[in-house]
Amino acid sequence: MKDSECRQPRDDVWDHIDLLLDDSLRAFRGEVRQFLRTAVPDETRARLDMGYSATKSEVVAFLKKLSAKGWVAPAWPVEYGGTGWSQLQRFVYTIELGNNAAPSVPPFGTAMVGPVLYTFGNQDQKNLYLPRILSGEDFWCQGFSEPGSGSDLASLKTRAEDRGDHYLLNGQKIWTSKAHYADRIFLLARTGEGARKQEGISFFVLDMDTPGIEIKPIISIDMSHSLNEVFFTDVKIPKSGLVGEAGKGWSYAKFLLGNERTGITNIGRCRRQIARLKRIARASHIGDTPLCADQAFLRDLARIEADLTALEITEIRLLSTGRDSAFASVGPSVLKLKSAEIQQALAELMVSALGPFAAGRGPQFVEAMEDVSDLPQGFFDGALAEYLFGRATSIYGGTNEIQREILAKATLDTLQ
Amino acid sequence: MSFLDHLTPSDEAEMIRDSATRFTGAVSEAALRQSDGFDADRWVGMADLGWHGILADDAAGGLGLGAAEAAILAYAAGHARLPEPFVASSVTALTALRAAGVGIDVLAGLVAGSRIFAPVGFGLPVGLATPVSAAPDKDGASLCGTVPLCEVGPHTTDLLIFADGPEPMLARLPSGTDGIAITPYRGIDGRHLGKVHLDGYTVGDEAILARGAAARNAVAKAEAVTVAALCADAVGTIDKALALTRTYLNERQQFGRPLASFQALRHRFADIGVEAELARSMAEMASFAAQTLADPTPLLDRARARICRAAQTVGQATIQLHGGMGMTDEMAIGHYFRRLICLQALLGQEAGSLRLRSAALAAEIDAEARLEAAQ
Repeated sequence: MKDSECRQPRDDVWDHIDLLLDDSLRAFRGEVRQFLRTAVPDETRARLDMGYSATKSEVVAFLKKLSAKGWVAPAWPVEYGGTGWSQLQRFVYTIELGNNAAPSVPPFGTAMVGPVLYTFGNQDQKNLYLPRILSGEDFWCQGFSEPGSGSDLASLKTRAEDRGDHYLLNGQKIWTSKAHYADRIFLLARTGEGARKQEGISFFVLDMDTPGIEIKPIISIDMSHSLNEVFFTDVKIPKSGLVGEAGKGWSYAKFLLGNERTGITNIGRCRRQIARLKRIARASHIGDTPLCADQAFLRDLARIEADLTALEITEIRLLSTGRDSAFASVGPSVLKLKSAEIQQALAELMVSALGPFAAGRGPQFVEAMEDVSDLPQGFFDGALAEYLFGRATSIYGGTNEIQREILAKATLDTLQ
Repeated sequence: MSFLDHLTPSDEAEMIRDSATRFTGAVSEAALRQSDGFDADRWVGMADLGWHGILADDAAGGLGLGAAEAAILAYAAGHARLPEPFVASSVTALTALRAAGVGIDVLAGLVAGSRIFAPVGFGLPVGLATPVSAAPDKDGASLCGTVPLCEVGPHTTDLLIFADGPEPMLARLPSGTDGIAITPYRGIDGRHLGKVHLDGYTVGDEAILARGAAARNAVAKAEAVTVAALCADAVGTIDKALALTRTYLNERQQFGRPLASFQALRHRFADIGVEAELARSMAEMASFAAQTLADPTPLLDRARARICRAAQTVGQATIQLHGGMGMTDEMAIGHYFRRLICLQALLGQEAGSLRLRSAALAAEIDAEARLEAAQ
């Protein structure tokens, strides 16, 4: 292998997507790789490789690059700023983002509220919000979950009372990722009552600097701050903040969550993780044996690779089947469930690969490890942070148990 | 052809699927149990529908199609648990025969259903080196070795033997040839199997179909298509095991309600449904790789590793979900479980497939380390 090929994602046979793509898609992939090589600074790539999440300034810098290229929200219709790419081009693009350790594009604007706004929003809302998502000016957060409404989202209690020229919002949201960074929030609130709990829910957009909003951090098990509680006390939502029709919010939320489930397989990132595990395996030892000579480790890694291949092909199958096929209804749940398992298995293997060095945390620990291991320092702290926060992959977006129930309804229950 | 085209079945492929489903749908559980491992009428029925010629040339009466279409038939055979050696003769042996360039007359007999070939030393199981070696002899070549597992039975008309050694060759010999000892036994799936023992058997030039690299290439080609067919066979078997379990869970009542209403069972069923979809993805990839790629082996190894695990997981769970009834020979589910065990053996087991990739990973890690040290 030539030197130049090694520092980039590999093009060998195990990168089998290459074999499955036609020439034009391969050329497209080359274009994406070329762009990402300069758009992601080396320093950012190194930090993300070690398992740290991108800082806001790193995300903003990357979004500016993407924005100039018109690549922030490829899936959007062209008239609203999408790229017009085929589904497979988008699939390849997403893999390359992860595979090249690019900062994650925040999904709250591009994958969540954006599609709701251009599908159900009015012209003023489209004109105001969509360009600011594409330019990276607005960061959004998601106000769905409540303390008493996790998986059972429709039982939510936050209320928006119609006061004529505005709605008066009272209640509380929880697990609000990046609320402390966000400029705006989209949320579900009850505006009326119906026979079913899904009725009477409306979908709103709101500025985060509106008086009456209070953010309290939730420190997560990785000892970092990305989650929040958000409290609303007599917050005035202007009438222009209602999206679509009052009382129809549940159907918009279902539309949004359906988009979420297809976009979270993180295949590219998993590939990068496998490369990282190989790097750790060189420097880590079990007793006197280097990890790269340990059959159990190699077997575990080979098994995860096979799982990842199956996941990738399953996603391609889902992208290429029509919406009316039986697989289209269960495919997103299959992907969500399995991708969570794979990401968690990779993080688990990473931590076990660190052996005795997996127990410490923080700058002092990292410094203390400097002269006792061949591994780059960041591997210690970052791997553990990723492992800990990665427990959320089987919880967010509908827990794995919720996905199993969706699958059982679709595949086990006999049609009446 | 791209993988996407491959995922979109042609009209012809759909017709083959419909015809195969109608044919296998007419095979009852009782008929399967009566057929004792082979049913001559059913074999002729397959011939009439073109099964044996799915991969054969037009001139031999075949359809001239590829691994994808053969996989459709293997899926149907797996779904219906047909015990006849469709993959062994009509896929594995036929592919090797064609690649070795045999005459149309030989292929025509196979396609018509009158000749049934048993591969010996290649294909089934996948990924093993042949135990048969060939050494030059004054009348041709002398074959030595014992092949513990061959899909051979009373119905077999021809042995297709792959021998390595000083003089690699692919040889065709009539079943029942003096000097070739076959010890028959049964697979736990009820199939006719046998051990073939060669102790210095002299094969004449007329029986040798290919030599050297040509023989090796013919066998490699046959193995690739075999993996694709076995993967599809396994997915068909898995789908049927899921369908039987779905019916059972909905019909069986305990505590006054159907088993299908208990969440612990629902979630286990959901998990094996996921396994089935991952296996289906890998089977699609395998038939594409076998048909299209110059060196499909690394991808096929990964496919059979994943499908073996799915077969194991689904088999065990479907027995558990049938409770005590799952332990009986009376219920069909146990027969599918046993077939899945045999398919794992034929595919080389998950462990065997992963071992190859583990070794490759170790080599890649080593190469990357040396490259970095050199920089």
